[in-house]
Amino acid sequence: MTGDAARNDATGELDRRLSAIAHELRTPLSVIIGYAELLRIRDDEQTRREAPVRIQEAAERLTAVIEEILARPALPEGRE
Amino acid sequence: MSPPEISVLLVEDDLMVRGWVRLALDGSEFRLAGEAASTAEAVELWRRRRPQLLLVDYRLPDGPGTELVRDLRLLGVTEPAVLMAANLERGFNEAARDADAQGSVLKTGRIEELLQALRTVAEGGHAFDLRHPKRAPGRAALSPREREVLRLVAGGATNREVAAALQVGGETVKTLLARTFAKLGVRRRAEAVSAAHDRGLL
Repeated sequence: MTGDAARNDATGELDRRLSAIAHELRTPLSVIIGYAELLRIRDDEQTRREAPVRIQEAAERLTAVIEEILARPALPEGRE
Repeated sequence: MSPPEISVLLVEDDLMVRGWVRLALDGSEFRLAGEAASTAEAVELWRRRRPQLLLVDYRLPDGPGTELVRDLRLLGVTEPAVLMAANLERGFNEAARDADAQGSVLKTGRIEELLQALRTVAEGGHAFDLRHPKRAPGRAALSPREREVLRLVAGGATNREVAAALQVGGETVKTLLARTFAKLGVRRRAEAVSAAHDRGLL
C-alpha cells in the first residue's frame, strides 16, 4: 500500500469512528433534550411519570458511552 | 373537530428513542401504527398494518434506512417516508431523495421539528433538514447498474464474477467501477464499499 493510500485509510477509519462516537453521544442527548422539552410544555400524568425516569436512563447511558470512549485507544495500533 | 389521525410506522432500533417518539406523538394527529427495530421487521409490519406514513432511522442493525425505503418502494409502497439521523451527514438529503424519501429529520429532541416534518410530508410536501451539508459537487447519485456492481463487489465478487452475474463484458465492469469510484471520490474497491455504506447507497 502506498503512503497516500495508507493515510487515506487511516483518515477514513478515524472519520468513521468519530461519526460512530458522535452518534452514540447524540442519541441519549437527544432523548434527554426531548423528554426535558416534554416536561416543559406538557402537564399530563404520563409525561410527569415517564420523563424523569427516561432522562436518568439516558444520562446513565451517556456516562457509560463516555467511559467506553476514554477506555479505547485513540487510534488503531501502529498508526500515528 | 379534531383532525383525522395519521398512522405512522416507526422504524428505530433504539428503545429510548422509540419511547420518546411515542410520547412526543401522543396528543398530536399522529398515531403509531407499529414499531419495528429492523428493516426486516419493518417490511413485515408494513404488510400487516399498512401505515400512512413511515418514520425511519438511518442506522438500523440490518442495513441503512435508505435501503429500507428503496425496498419498500419496490414493493409498491407509495406512502411518504421521513428519514431520521442523529448526526449531520454530508449528502444525507440527496441519499434520502435518491431512495425516494420525502423528508429528513435530525434527532435533536425538538418535538416541533419532528411534528413539522411529519405534517409537511403527510400533506404531500417535502421536508428535508437543510442543516445536512450538501453532497460534494460532482458526486452524482449512483445509477441502479452502478449500485448493482457495488453490491456485488461488496459481497466479495471479482470483476469476472460481476461480469458473469450481470451478463456483461469485463470492460463494461471496469467502466462501471471507474464511474462509481469517481462519483464516490475514492480510488479503491474497499474504499468504495465503505463510502457507499456510509452514505446509505448500499
